[in-house]
Amino acid sequence: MAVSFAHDLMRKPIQVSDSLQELLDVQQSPSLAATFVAHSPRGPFLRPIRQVQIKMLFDAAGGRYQLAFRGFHAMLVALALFLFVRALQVRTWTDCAAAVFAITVFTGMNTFRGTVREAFPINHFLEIVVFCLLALNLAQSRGGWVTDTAAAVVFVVASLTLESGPLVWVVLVAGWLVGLRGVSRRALVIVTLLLGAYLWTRFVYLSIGTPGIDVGRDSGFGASMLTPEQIAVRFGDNPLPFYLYNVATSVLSVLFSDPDRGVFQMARGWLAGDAQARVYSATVPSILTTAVIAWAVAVAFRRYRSGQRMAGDYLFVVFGCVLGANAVLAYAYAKPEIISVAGAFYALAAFVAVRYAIEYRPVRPALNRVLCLVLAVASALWAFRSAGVHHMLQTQAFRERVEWARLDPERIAERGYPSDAPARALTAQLRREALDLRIANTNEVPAWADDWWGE
Amino acid sequence: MNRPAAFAVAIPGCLLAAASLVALMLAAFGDYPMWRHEDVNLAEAAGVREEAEVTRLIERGQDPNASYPVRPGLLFERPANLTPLEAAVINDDPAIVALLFANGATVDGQTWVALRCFAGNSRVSPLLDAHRPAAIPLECAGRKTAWD
Repeated sequence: MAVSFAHDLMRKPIQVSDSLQELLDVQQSPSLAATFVAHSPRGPFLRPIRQVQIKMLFDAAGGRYQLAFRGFHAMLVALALFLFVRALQVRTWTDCAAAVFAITVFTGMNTFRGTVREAFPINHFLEIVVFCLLALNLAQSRGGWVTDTAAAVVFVVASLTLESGPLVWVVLVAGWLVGLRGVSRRALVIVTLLLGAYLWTRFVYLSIGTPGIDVGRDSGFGASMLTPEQIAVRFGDNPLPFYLYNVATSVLSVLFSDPDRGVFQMARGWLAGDAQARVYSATVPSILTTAVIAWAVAVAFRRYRSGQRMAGDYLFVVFGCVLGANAVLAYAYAKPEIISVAGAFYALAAFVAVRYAIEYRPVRPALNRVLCLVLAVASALWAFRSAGVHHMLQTQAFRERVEWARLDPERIAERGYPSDAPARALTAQLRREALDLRIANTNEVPAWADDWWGE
Repeated sequence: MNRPAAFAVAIPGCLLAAASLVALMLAAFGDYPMWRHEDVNLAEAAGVREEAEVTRLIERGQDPNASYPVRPGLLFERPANLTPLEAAVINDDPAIVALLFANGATVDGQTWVALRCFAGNSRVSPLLDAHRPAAIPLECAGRKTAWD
């Protein structure tokens, strides 16, 4: 499946809207150090390593930018899937069956769909997912100084890449609390000190603060999307209710795939008399899977109180911690990519729950039939959702190619881009690479594909 | 292990993995099922709303005023011979009609009348009106187009 997603990503042009400016910036920057300084801080964000990574890859690309950036994107997807499967610690056939289910949950969720299509030259949201899964793998390992060093390095790189980077610390601490000792106590203290240093640098030394409602992003509220201006009018005086709404809807979006981007899609569909298949295909497997997780958590809790353990039950606790922390970090605006780490850990929790469901033997045959039916429906719908990622990437690739076709490299100054000769030459090359890609015409794709898998 | 439950859980994902494998094997022979790409000429690209491909083909030197064979199934059930502008008007695509005009597509009086009559009140009509040849009366009664 990783190769299959990679195949799609290699046919997806680098995006104009979120990527061209970044690439022109790093082209104009004389060095990595200059890039680091210029991007720490920028507005309400502290992401210096993000731009440094783009600069490094840009310089290493040797002029083959499509190959370098999309290849890196594909590698991140493969790495995320590898670390995810490794964290499952598959040992038996039961594990194997549950792992197959968990992979379809991971790749079928809105959080994965939102993340994998992200448009920056490097997919930093996916990087944070990889860093957090790597942190869990480190916590599950046998430990040692290499593991401890890796934990510290992963935390620093993640924290200076995106605002959700400190989730690495949450994973490490949650792992420690549930008994994972791959990362030593000493390393955990060091990582906690690094977190303190990060917070001090951010809030005291640089006085950056955090993104607020003035961050300038659209965000959903109730049954509709609000523009930044509408958000300012409604919540400018007291943004707290809006922040609480975003935190709550972020949690719900992981557990039930609705709301999406803060908009309650199912309610919106009912109100508008426009029930969309794509909404139900996401929410139904989510509701079923969350129900199975809730049941397994209840059983695990009962067992824990009586001194017994359910295999892998610690992943429920880690998932709960990550979900809470990730939702809090999404307070400023709702977006599936921001909550994508929680999505990955939800799939890990689903693995443990479904493994328990497979081992469970109901006394009454009718109950067993119901259990099998629930699992079969959830599993089939997640697999169907996962297959839809290909369609989503295809549609996006087609649109992006049109964006490039509409861009005149000689007139990029009109769009606010740098317009010296090297900038125009780079734009012309990226445009040529995009137009030369063999991309299917999504206007010719059957309408049902968009109904079920579209945006 | 509850075998029915295990099968219920694993089979859809296994089928997906197998389908992905088959798709990749087909891709190795240039026929990936979800990325089916067919080479098209300028008229075909204009007729199936492939704006980026229209741009690419014009930049690679295809003539926006020439006629091209259009394969059955794209615009009509039978083969046709059309200019890109005719194909875009038939498909009522203002973006591609504008793109073609911006890249040197022209129409003589007779073709313009034929296209304008076919377009009626569709979305491309204002664009055709903006490129109306001088002193051409619009008389649609009984007129047939080249592809009728």
